[in-house]
Amino acid sequence: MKTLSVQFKVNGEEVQAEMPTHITLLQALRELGYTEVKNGCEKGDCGSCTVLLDGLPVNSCLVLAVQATGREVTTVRGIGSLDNLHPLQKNFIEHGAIQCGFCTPGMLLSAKALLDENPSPTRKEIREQISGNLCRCTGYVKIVDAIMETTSEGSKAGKRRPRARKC
Amino acid sequence: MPFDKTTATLLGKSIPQPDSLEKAVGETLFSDDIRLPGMLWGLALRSPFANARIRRLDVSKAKALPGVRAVLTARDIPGVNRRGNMPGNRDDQPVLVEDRTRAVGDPIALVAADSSETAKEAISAITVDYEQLAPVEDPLVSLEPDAPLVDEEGNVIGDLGYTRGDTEKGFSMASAIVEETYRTQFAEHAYLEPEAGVAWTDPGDVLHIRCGTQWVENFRHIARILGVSHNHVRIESPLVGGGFGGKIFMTIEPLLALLAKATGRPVRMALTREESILSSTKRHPYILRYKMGADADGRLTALLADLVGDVGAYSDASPVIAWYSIGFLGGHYRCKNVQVHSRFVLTNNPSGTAMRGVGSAQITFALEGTMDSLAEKLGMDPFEFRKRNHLSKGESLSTGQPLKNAVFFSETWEAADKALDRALLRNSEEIPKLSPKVLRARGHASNMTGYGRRHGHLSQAQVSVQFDGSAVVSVGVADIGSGQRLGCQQVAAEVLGLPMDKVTLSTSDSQLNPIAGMTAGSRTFLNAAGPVQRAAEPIAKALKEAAASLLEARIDDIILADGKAFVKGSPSVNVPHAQLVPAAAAAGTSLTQLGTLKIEEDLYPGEETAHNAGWLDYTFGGMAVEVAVDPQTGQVMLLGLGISHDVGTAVNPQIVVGQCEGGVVQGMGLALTEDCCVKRGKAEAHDFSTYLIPTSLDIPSIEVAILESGEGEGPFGARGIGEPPHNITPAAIASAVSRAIGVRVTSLPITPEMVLTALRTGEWPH
Ligand code: FES
Ligand code: FES
Repeated sequence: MKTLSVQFKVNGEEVQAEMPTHITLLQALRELGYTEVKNGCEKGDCGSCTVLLDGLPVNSCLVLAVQATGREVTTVRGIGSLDNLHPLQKNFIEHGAIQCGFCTPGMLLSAKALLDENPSPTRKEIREQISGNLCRCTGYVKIVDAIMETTSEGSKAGKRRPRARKC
Repeated sequence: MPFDKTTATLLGKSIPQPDSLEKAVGETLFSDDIRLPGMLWGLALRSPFANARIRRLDVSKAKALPGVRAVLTARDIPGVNRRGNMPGNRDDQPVLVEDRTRAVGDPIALVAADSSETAKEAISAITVDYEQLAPVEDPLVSLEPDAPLVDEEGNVIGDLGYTRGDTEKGFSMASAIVEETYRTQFAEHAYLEPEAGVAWTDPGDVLHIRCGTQWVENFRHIARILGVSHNHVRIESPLVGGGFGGKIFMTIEPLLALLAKATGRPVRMALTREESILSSTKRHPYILRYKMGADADGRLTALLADLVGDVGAYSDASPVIAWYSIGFLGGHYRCKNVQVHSRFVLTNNPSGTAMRGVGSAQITFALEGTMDSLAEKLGMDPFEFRKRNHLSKGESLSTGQPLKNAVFFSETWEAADKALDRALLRNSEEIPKLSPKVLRARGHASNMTGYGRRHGHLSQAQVSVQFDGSAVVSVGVADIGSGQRLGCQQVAAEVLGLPMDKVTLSTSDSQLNPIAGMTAGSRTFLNAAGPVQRAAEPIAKALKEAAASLLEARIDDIILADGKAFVKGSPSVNVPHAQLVPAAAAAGTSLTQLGTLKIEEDLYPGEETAHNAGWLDYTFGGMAVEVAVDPQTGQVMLLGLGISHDVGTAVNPQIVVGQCEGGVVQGMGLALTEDCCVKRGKAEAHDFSTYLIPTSLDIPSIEVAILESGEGEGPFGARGIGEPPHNITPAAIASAVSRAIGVRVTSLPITPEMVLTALRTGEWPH
């Protein structure tokens, strides 16, 4: 099997590994232990595998690991942690936007990408942004509510405290 | 001591799920998220044909490949080569095919190898010589006397029914009669998490299976397959990434078990989405013929229902689901002359199984459609017509089962209608943008969903309190995301008077936890949190006794709340649980209690035929929806939707609303887009670009109105709410579309093509 050395940053940490050339970023991340990146279809249909690549959301199952060389990957662990939740994570929890939670990591990253770009989107814009992230449990209502809540709160919070982490 | 709701502190609070924190930060380890040292990859070779004889199966080349640790066929199964799945079925499904495949996706051989590449290579190195046979695709064909046998015992696995009164006479008294045939599709559960898991054997020779499931009790089936005793198999379900009925019966567990046993090494399997859809069970398609008659006053005089369910290739849960359906066919309307008949028939299609709203979503669609048609024929308003016929508390279903608890028919109907008004108001920006050509209409439905099967065995849970006043709940029930663990935690915290974070949970382990049955049938709050309540109550009583003596008060005046005991009205003088628990222990109370719930058989006299069909209690609800149909494209747009159910007591309103919203959107999929498109026994819709579940762009503005009669059988008077919002949705949407286009919708899904044909021909195409 042909292998290549891949090198990129995940949540700020350098990662280097020898990987088969055809391996996708999703497979690579999961094999490297970033199992918070979920595999729901491996063909770009569900959005469970969404990560941020240099800040932009991608379906990691549609990106080859080698394509990430030299770039920054952000998974859901990179935007907040148990004792330092990102406002989106906090609002997802409080609004009941998480049922089984399988779609959650991808959903949060799509939402974050939107808010980074546009801090005050409309509900419609939110729905458009997450339309590639399937959720079978919630019916999306509480997810949109949670993101909506973060828009107004997020700008206030942004002034109050510096961003938790550079990602 | 009955629970005093007036002093409750957590009841009715929208507390978030205990696991959502870890889920939000990506810490949750789902089924495919653990790796064990020396772990092998497992893969299955599956049949591409729905009906084929296997002339020859050669695995020698696969076995010889380096890195291949095991190649297994039916002959290598140490115990019984039957999945079992549901007690009372035909036990007709092999784990690995012996000589004939009955369904696409039937596993024929298994491979365990050092890497997934090697496993794939080994699978391709297996040669199978198939003799293809014509599959039986249509249940109506399968019913014919000369139909090819899908199973040696015959194709009809359930032929049930009952008669009350005299339908012939009833129809002769009718001034309007409607007869319609409804059809529903194969639907996929489409949980976002595909089937995955790991199995390994521990030094004590216990086989562990860590695999998301809705039913940890499947360990018994595994033990039979392996030919070991029950105590040698332990199922530990991690948090499940969605189930909806599709993970009740075993998915890959027996395959994992066989490979781990044969190799002595940990084995991991993870299905691709395609393999998941190809091999998994589905919602049964139903063909439902309803004939109903009413007199000039709009009172039902006769109801005749005939159901043919497509079981698919194996009996699985169908015998039980056939009974569920019998319980709903007669409807929740008053009618003296009822005849109900149901046949469940084998085909070579994917196997039907439980799916949210089990056995009732299809029936609600047909029953409510027929009710609408009959109202129309009588020239009556559909609500008025139903009001004259809807059963009330104290009356009996046509099965003979009395309705002991509140029946909020008008209340939920009206609340749903008002909720729809609010939903439309919220959507008021979008509505004016609609083309004036669209056909707009409002539709409604009413439904009844059972919860708490009466034939469940014991459900048990254990609660222990620690010396510092904290508590541990142990219950063998799986959490599939809809708040199963939260329900148990919230009930224990409420009864013990503890803050939520002082109650931890141990769940879904078949050896560590008392068994509480499957997470299914809207039963878990009743059947898991119920036993938790029973276990916590004697502990709470002991704590109150200790407090009464310390505070020199009467036990009846003691309140337990927020980790303290105090006399009602004077919370400032209090004793913490940390003091009460040691005192209770010193007084000889066991700090660990087992709670047991058994749903009694409770036969209703003289109605043995239908007895199996009943549930402990039912949840009633209503839905109102407004649609806009584009006559040019046939596209159906939902402008707004209002839903209302009487949940008895909304112990956690946010969970209730979440179940309603999620259920509605799933129901929307069933109504409008979801169809496995089974051809020659194969689901042609094989991924999420062909099997279309709703996205965030498809959802309407949804408003939920929760009603609380206080009359339910679950803890604090709660009723099951997991399924009801789902199974009413297709009925309500179909009602609205039928009105908009002036043609009764009689099949699902309501695709644009169907709508256009109906508009063109004036008839719903079949
Ligand atoms: S796993 Fe990548 S989109 Fe589904
Ligand atoms: S919460 Fe289960 S898929 Fe979204």
